Amino acid sequence: MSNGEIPLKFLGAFGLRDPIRPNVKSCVSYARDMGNLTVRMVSGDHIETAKSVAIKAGILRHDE
Amino acid sequence: MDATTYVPVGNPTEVGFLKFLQDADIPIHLLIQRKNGRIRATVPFSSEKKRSAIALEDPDRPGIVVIHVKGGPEAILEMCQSMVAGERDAELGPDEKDEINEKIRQMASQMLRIIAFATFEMESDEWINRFETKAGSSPS
Repeated sequence: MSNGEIPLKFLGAFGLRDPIRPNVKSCVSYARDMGNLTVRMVSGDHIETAKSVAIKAGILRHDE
Repeated sequence: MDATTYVPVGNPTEVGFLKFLQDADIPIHLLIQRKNGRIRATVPFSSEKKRSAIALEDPDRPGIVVIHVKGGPEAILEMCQSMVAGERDAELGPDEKDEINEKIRQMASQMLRIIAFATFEMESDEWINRFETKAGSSPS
């Protein structure tokens, strides 16, 4: 099953929502405003998923 | 759900997927039981490779080993050369991949975690020759 050795047949894909916990946004803004910290996020998700989650959590701005 | 309903536990993404199948009235407990004694190899999820895999003897077709691969769409798509298209299979070339990637990008931008699936099947003899003999490469 080494990469590239077996030509796979694509079956499909689906999307699951893993919601941000309710207190995340306030924690991020507290760390930034009161702690003067830059908050960053580590994720193994698709880059677009990570971006949209980071924007929702207040970690990234739309123009970043 | 009544008291006898199978309740999946574990990784939240996996559980979410299994519950989605249950909501669609797919008898996942029976399907999971069909794997018993038929697993030929497993490759656990690696966050580096962004995929996991399992090789199963097909319960309905003796002598056939089916490899199922699940993972991040970018990791899965690059391993694919064909796709299911209705009842038949179709070629999966650069144009089709671009189209699928664009759909995935749209889904991902709605805060969705995308999981993709792919498969490959071979005769049991070929499986043994390729993956279960010393000369063969071990599954990775």
